[in-house]
Amino acid sequence: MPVPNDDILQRKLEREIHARKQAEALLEQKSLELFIEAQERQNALSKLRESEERYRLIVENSPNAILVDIEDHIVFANGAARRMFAESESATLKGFTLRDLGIHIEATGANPDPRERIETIANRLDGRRIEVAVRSMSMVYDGKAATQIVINDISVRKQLERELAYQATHDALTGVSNRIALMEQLEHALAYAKRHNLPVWVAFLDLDHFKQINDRFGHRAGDLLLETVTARLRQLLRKGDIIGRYGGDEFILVLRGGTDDTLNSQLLDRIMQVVSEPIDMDGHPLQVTCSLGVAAFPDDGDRSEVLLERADAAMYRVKESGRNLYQLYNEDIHARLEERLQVERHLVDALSRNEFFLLYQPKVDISTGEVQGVEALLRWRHPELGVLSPEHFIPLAEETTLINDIGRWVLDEACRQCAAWHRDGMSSLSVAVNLSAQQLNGPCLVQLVSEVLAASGLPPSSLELELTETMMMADVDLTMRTMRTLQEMGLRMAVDDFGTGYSSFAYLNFLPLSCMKIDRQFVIALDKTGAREAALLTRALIQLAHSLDLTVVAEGVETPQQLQVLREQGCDQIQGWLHSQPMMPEALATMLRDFDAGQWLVDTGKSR
Amino acid sequence: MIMKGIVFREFLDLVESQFSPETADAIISASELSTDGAYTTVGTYPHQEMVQLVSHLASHTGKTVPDLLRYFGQHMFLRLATLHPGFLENHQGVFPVLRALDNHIHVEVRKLYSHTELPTFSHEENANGHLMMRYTSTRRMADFAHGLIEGCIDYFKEPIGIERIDLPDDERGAHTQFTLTRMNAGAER
Repeated sequence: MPVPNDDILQRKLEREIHARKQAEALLEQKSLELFIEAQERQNALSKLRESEERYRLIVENSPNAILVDIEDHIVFANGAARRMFAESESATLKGFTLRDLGIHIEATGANPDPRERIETIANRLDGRRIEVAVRSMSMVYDGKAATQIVINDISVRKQLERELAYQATHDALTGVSNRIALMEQLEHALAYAKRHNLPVWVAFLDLDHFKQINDRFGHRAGDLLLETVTARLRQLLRKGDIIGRYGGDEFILVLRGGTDDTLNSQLLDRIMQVVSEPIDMDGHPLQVTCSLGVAAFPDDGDRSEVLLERADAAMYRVKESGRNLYQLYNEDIHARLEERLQVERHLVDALSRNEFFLLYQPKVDISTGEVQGVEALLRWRHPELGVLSPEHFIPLAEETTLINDIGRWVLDEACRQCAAWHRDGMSSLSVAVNLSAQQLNGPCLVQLVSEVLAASGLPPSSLELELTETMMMADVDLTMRTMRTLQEMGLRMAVDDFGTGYSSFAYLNFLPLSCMKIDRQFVIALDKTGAREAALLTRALIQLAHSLDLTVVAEGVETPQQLQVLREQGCDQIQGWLHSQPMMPEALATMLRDFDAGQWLVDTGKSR
Repeated sequence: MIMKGIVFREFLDLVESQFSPETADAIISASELSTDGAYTTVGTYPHQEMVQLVSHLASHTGKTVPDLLRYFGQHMFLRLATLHPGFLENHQGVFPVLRALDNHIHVEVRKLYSHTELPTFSHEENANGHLMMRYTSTRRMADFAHGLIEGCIDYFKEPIGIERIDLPDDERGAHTQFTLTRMNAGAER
């Protein structure tokens, strides 16, 4: 091969050098590219690691327990799962199966949709059982088909739910059914009885004088009493009987009826008996009786509300007749209940329909025959039942705020009328108004009295308020303050129906009273069998009143003989049919104009 | 349209050894080349330069361009086999190598030289020891391809005949069909 000439070799060399430079430049560039690429890859890798670490932390620190199961073996458990099933986070669940934990997941193959949430009871490794909610879904883990299981411990929530359900249906103090649950149970009992043609007795039980016990011994004693009575009743009741607390000191008993009524009577007797057994209250025996009203299914009604209403009415009858008895619902109570319902229906609108009116009954000085004042007596012209006296509707009104409106109307009307009489020349006439317990202990009595007096223009000295012993004793301190204020305003106050309630004579001395009214039952007794003993009582009462510097008014004086005794005993005033019945204001004005006091004294045997 | 530097290097080396350094220098000088004929195997250069070089070689030597390209193809296969023995390691025999052209060897090439524009080969094989390949390229180097196939057959020393049919051009470039037939079926290594 011929050797190429120098020119050619020179050019070839230059080309080689050029090519080499090109190659070096290319290599340089390629190496830079590789370096940048490597760096980018490094960055991406560390970002991937960070992101993986983040996800790992999220999963590890999740409050939900997370497990991964592959072919029936747990291959991953996060911190929450280890705490949930193995107490400590350092424990491992790997190698255990879901069955070991009491969790059964239905297999759905590769379906990636989460399976339905199930609530179940799982086993911890220490054997304790917990209530859990489980969700699971298929996934791929380390390249294998796996199941991801997410578990929440719902033990606390379940427990709370059970407690809530219990609280919603049970009375917190006594543990028996509360009113809501009771009504439901009663419905069920009645439905069952209907199907099987069985009688059921619904008994309304109310503890006697519970409020006084609470007031006197405190709520702790009251609670103990309720608990003890409930426990005794529960022991007494038979399978299938129901007891529930209806409210306060009221219980409902639903008693399975038998064919033999005497058995039921015996049961009622036993109920009365166990309730009244003494209870040890810090070493002191505490005794309470109860009043029980019973309505029978199906004889007295077939709906729960009717039976309850009628049992309540029967119980009310017991309260009226002196408590500590049981009473079965009967026709008489039925008539009373009907009346009560009628009263109830109309009472709300009675004021606005002007159905109330006042009658006035004079109080007469026993020695001069002069009319000293009048007592205002409330009447209601009921659209269906005719004219009703207060005992028919005041207790009902007292259960609502209606009593306040009625009380205000009475006070207003009496003062207005009396002021009118004053303007007509009868300026010595005073009017007495009966207060209700709610009025006396309500916050606005003093203000109400001031307003009424101001509106009518009646001098305070012409207004007398009549209060019963029981009312005054309910809250002696409060009553005392109110009465003192009223006294300072110039009003006079009388104790009404004296001797029928129970009170401490000591208070008579402290309360700013000016008058004592002897109840009609003592007066009526003056000409009946036992008149001598009755006379001893009235004499004592009159002497007591006088020694306390009180004027004495005898109520319900109907016969000359009663008047005679009272006159001899030094009674100051009388009130009653013997002088005049309660009258409409116009009739009273006429009577006062025409009345000859001297003649009345002669007519009634007063020796001149 | 570019071509790998190695093709230029091998081409010029071949010209030097088969003709003479003067011939190589002459065709370089006669051509308008971007780098004045300085090629590095790792670079890429306009394909047009190869066309110029081959046509100048033809006029310089009195041989036809197709003959030159075909001869270069035969040589080039042997050189590639020497330079990149790894490409052939897993494909022993003519048919396996040719079958692997598009889906394996070109993939490997792309990994190394991401910018290279490669021709495409489609192939069809029947049971009677026939392999039909279709070369499609805008560079119109069917002769070079022909030479490569021959180089391959020569390399493996297999008794295979080639039948070539040039098909009409279309928008994708030139199409050439090669039908390879094994002379005594069953002798494939």
